[in-house]
Formats: sequence, structure tokens, C-alpha cells
Amino acid sequence: MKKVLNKRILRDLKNNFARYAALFLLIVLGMYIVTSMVASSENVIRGTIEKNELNCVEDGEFSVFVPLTNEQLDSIRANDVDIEEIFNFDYSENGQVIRVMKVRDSINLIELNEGNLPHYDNELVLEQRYASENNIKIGDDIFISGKKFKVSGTGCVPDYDMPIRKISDTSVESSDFGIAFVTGTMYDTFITESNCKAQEYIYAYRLKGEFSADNLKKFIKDMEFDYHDVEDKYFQDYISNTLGKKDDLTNGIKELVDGSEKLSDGLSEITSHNDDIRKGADDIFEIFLLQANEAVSFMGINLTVDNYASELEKCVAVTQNSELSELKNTLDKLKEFSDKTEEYTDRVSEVYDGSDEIESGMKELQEKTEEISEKYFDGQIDNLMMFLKAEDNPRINAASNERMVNRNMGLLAGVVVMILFMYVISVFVVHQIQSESSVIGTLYALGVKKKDLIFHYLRLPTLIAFLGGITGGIIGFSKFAIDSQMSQVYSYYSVPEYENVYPVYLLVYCIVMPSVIAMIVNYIVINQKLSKTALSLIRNEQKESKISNVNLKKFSFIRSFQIRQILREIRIVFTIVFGMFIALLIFMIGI
Amino acid sequence: MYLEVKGLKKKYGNGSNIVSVLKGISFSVEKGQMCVIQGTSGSGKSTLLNCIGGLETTDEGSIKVSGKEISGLSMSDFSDYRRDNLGFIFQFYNLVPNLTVKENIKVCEFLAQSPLDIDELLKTLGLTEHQDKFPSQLSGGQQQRCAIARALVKNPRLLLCDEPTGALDSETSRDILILLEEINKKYGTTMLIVTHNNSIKEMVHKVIFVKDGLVKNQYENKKRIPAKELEDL
Ligand SMILES: Nc1ncnc2c1ncn2[C@@H]1O[C@H](COP(=O)(O)OP(=O)(O)OP(=O)(O)O)[C@@H](O)[C@H]1O
Ligand SMILES: [Mg+2]
Repeated sequence: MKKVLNKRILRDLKNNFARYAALFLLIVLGMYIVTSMVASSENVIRGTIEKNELNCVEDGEFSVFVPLTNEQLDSIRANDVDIEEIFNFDYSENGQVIRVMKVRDSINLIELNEGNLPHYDNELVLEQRYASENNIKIGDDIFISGKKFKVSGTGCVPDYDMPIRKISDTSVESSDFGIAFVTGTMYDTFITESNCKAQEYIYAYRLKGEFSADNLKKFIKDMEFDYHDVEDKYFQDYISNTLGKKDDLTNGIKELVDGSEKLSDGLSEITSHNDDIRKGADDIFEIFLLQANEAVSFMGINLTVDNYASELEKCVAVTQNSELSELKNTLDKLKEFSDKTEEYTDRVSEVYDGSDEIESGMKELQEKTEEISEKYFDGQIDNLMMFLKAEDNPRINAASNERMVNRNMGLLAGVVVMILFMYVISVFVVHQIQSESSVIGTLYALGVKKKDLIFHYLRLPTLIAFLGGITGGIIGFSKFAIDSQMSQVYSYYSVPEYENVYPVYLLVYCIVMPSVIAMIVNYIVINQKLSKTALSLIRNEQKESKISNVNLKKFSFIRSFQIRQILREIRIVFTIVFGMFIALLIFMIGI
Repeated sequence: MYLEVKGLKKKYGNGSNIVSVLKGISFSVEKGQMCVIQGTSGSGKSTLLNCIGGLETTDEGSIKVSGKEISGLSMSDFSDYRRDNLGFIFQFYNLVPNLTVKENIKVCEFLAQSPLDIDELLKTLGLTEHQDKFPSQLSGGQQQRCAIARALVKNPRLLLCDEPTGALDSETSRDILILLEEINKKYGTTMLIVTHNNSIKEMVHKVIFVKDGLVKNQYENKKRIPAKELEDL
């Protein structure tokens, strides 16, 4: 039966050639884009690893305020670390910047695109992207700081894979920024002659042993360094802005502490006189009370602090003596004075206690501030200005990193797009199954089983996906496709020419992925359609579709039948168009 | 007894709108017999045939085919039962549209362990000259002959025909009937033929009348008239 039904597949293909050809072409197109994208990405990714090895890419770089001495360099090297100066300065003219460096010896070697390394002092190698953007050829003359150079070669270096001027730049402007590599002698001449202050002291390192980047960083920080050696004006600003600020803060707090100490001392003095003041007030009252006692002794009364007021009042009432009444008033006043004095001395004591608390609080503040400033204003200033590991350096492996994202996106987009294409195909197949429903039912009645038929219906989609995948893959791997993808890389990044690679996984992906997805998607869709009983298939029972709900009563039977037919077709067309739209959208996002 | 149906009942629907279609049908057919089932429209003839053919489940009663009980089988057992025993012919031919006559027959060849020889079958059915034509290039009678050939290729012991001549004119109908008669003779195939045509009952061994889901009348023909000589088809 299989063989007989296969004949049908070919006839199917012939009858619906346009439809299947269009889908085939779409699959080819999709797989072509994915393959060329992934393969070219793989060229870049694998090529980068290879070239990095070959050209001894740095493990990282750091810059310092004051160039390291030979002893310091040797002490670093003693830790199994390769280190090379990549000092440079920027020469700018007409808004263009050329970064001048010497030809490298052991790290971040130049990969020549064309020509030779500078042999004479008046020769230089120009970074290839700048050369090409500015149309500079080998043998051309260029001027730097008034000196005339002949371009002996063009090329690239792994630490400027993405040739951006500042680390923080986000896009490459090769027309305005390039690098010139001159001989060592020429570089030194530049520095001495032009008295160049803007030189950057950058070192590239390669770790060969146990010594880690963090070890190295600490090692440099711990090196002896006197910041007065630094001539750089910015550096001096930096010092006054950091260390200076720290001093301001400590001094301010010290003044506060001193003030609070003084305050507390003064109050302590005041408090120490509290008893005297109180005693004086009490004494005055006692004296007057004595006098009063004498004055009223004739009445046989003994006046005390507690009873003088009531006793005297009684006497005044009896004697009507105005003197006594005045005496009482005076005693009242004195009593009040004595009370108030006591209250006052109490308050003074309280204030003194408070000032004590202020003082100890201030001392605490001082201690804590010292702790903090020690933590944040790293007590001593060191020579290290910048320390950047290669993996954090946006200039290094930039092309490879970008292509890695592209590769993964591409592989994923391929799967998603294939699912959509296959869904579209499955709509065709379902349409066919529905139109053959009664035939299928009759075959079921005769004993044919679902599994006999399902693989038959899977065959054509799988075949188309398989052929589409392979064809797309072949075109995707073609020189034309890869070259056009690679040219995008070469026209942005400053990278050496990479060899074409043929990753096995991608070959498998092209051959297997489309047909597997075709099988899965169509199986899911078709299985459901074929899982009906023979009778319901023979009667061609279909789920109440929306189309039959459309009210077409005002049309004649034939006309309404035609309209339903058109509506049904429109639904398929819509599904297909929508599927394509989504597929294209994903490709756009992916690329 | 090749086919034995006893107390067969079948309802459709649920709840308030239950329709009782077969209400206890009993009859039997002997091996190699041709049997016609007649009855008014809606009397349950097709339902009966579908139950015997394992296309429809039954509610009560038993159906024995060559001694084996088939009511209550699972769907996949039904499928095996149909494959091993049955041929089906419907009023509509339901041929695979983009396969030729010969290919349409071949589709079902694999279902049997010892299928009939296709060329011989084509000759018997008078389809030899049409074997490479597609269904759309054939007349209705030719298509029905092709459908019969497809049902017969696996040499079924029981052939179920639901109005096989329903869509054909009388001359073509006669051709088909002659053919069925010939096959019955040649291969000893037991046949159940549902038909509205009153004349057909004259040519078969046994006639069963169904009314309102019950067998109203059944008899065996003492004297059969060959299909060739049937009148008023
Ligand atoms: N799947 C079903 N669901 C509900 N009712 C059904 C179903 N199939 C058949 N019926 C009902 O069962 C009854 C018998 O149907 P059946 O098709 O067996 O009649 P018939 O005798 O073959 O009629 P005809 O001669 O017109 O073909 C009818 O009333 C029909 O409406
Ligand atoms: Mg019927």
C-alpha cells in the first residue's frame, strides 16, 4: 500500500505544484538565511579563537599615572606574567583622530591585511578599517604631527577588534578614528620632540602561571608610589578632590568635638557652683526667719519654714499689725526665691548632663567617620589608573561576541520559522484530508488503520521540509552567501580574514531539523483529524465551523454555497499570510 | 450458520431525545448465501449493516460471525475484525481520486495475507481496459465496479453492500448485480445487500424485511431468478 500511495504523493505534488513550490522556496530561503548567518558566525567565532592564539591577545590591560620602572616590570614578570608597553598618544587633525603606537613585540600582535610592518622610521602600518574608509592605499603618504610617513601595510590588532576611540564608545566610526603603528625609535622621537603630555601609559599583560588578574592588580596597587611624581594636571585635581575632601571632613568633625568639649567643660564649671548658690538663697531665708521669730516671740510662737505663713497670718488677723503682714510678704518672696534657685540649679545640672551626652556622641561620630573614610578614601593613593580584563574589554572579541548572539538567535529563529512554515503546510494537508474524508472513512471501514494513513500524509510535508532544508543549507554554505555575511563583519570590525568552517552541528541541523519539525507539527495536526470513526469520516462530519453560521439566507443556494467556499479559502489564505508575516518578523528581529 | 444476529438493539442520542433504531433484531445467514435486507427509509437498515460491520457499537444482543462474538469489541479489535473478514460497498464509491483503478485496488491488497490476483479480478469485473484510468475518467458503474474490486481484493468472507446500485441506472445496476452473483459463485462470498430495489430480492437466497427496528418478515427463495433475467430494475 505504501508504494501505491507514494504515487499519489507525486500526483499531489504535480496538482498543487505552485503551492508546494512556494512553500519549498520559503523553506529554502529561511534555511539559506539561517545557515549563512550561523556558518558565517561560526567562522568569526572559531576564527577569533584561532587568531587570538596566533597573535597573542592580551589577558588584560592596565594604565598607570607614572610609567613603571624596569625593576617594577621585572618584578611583575617574575610572577610568570608577560607584559608589554602599549603606550600611545592621540594625534588629531580635522576632527580625525589617529592613535599612534609602536609596533608590538609579544602581545596583541599586528595581523597584516596587506603589505609589511614598518621597516624604516618613516613607515607605518595603518589600521585597516581607517585605511579603507579614508581610501588610503599601501605606498600612500600620510602626515602625523608634521612628519611624513609612507604606509607600508594595513592590518589589525586583537585589542582593537572593535576600533572605538574610548572604551565607553558604543559604535565604531572608522572614518574618524584609526591607529598608526610606527617603529619604536620613531615613537620615542615623537615623545621627546613633541614633549607629549597626553601619552597614555598602558600595559598589556598575559598570565602564564598561577598568578591571577586580581593578584596582578593588587601587586601593582601595592607598589611604591609617590603621587607628587605625577605631573598630570588632572591627576592633581583628582587628588584634591578625593584626599582633600577627606581632610575637610575630618577637620570639620574635629572642630565639632572640640566645641562640644568646651561646652561641657563650661557647664561643668557652672554646675560646680550650684550648691553655693542654693546655700546662699537658703541662708538669706533663714536670717529673715530668725528676725521674724524675734518679732513674734512675745506671742510665744515658733516659726519654721513650713508653718510661718499660717502662723503669721493668724497673728496678723489678731493684731492687725501691718509690720507683721509686711514681714510675711518678705518671707514669701524669699521662699519663692529659694525655690526658684533650686529649680534653676536642677536645670543647670540637666543641661550639663546633656552636654556630656553631646560630647560622647561627637566622639562616636568622629570614630565612625574615621572608619568610613579609611574604608572609602583608601588611605594611600596608588599608581593604578585603570585595570581592565580582556573579557570586560569591549574592544576585544567584539565581533565574536556579537556573532555568538547572532548564531544563537539564528538557530532559534530557524526552528520557530520552520514551525510556522510547517503549520502552513499542515493547513494544506488538513484541507486535503477534509476533502478526502469519505474516502478515508471507506478505507477505515475496509480495515485500513490510522497509522497506515498518517505516515502517508506526513510524507509530503516531510519531504518538502527535508529537500528545502538541504537546498537552503547548500545555498547558505555557498561562497556567495558566506561572503555577503562576512562582508558585514569586515566592514565594521577590524578583524583578520577568517577561514570558512563547516560545523558538523549545522550540517545536521540543516538535514534533520526541518524534517523533524515537519513530522512533529504535521503529526500533531493530522493525527487529530484522522482520529475520527469511519462512519463520521464517511458522512464527512465536521465541527460546526463559524463559516456555516454565517447567515447567507438572502442568497440563492448556489450563491451561498459559493460564498461559503470562498470564505473557507480565505481562511486558509489568511492563515498562510499570517504565518508568513510572523516568520518574516522573527527573521527581521533575528538579523 | 455463518452470521447469527440475536436480539440486537441500538439507540441513538441521550437524555430526552433518545431514538431507538434497532429494537431487537434476530436473523441468521448461512455461509455462501446472498441476503437482501429491505425496508422503508429510516427503518434502520444501514444501522444494522454498520453494527454487523463493526462500524457502530451495539447496545444489546449478540452478533456472531463464523461463531465469533463481535459485539462489544474495542475499536482496534473492530478494525482487525473488519480487515480480516469484511468487504464494504457503499452507495457512493469513495475511490481515492488521484489513484488509477488498479492502484485503488492495490491500496487494499496489503490488508489480506492471501489477496486475490488483481489482474484476474480486473478481468472478472471487466475493468482490465480501464485499469490505468482515474476515477474521474470512469462512469458511475465502472467506479462502483472498481469499489467492489477494492472490497474484494482481500477475499473477504462477508461482503456488506449498502445500496450498491442506489446511484446507478437499471442497465448498470444489472451489470453490478450479475457481477455480485458471479463473485458469490466463484469465491463463495456471503453477502448482505441493503436495497430499495424490489426486484433484487428475486435473485438472492434469503430476504429480510425490516420495519421500525424489527424484522417484520423473512423468507428463503425456493427458486432464484438469475440477475440477467431480472425485470424492472
Ligand atoms: N448517528 C446517528 N445519530 C442519531 N440518529 C441516527 C444516527 N444514524 C442514524 N440515525 C437514525 O436512525 C434511524 C435509522 O437510520 P438508518 O440510516 O439506519 O436508516 P435506513 O434504513 O438506512 O434509511 P435509508 O433507507 O434512508 O438509508 C433514522 O431515523 C436516523 O435518523
Ligand atoms: Mg441507509
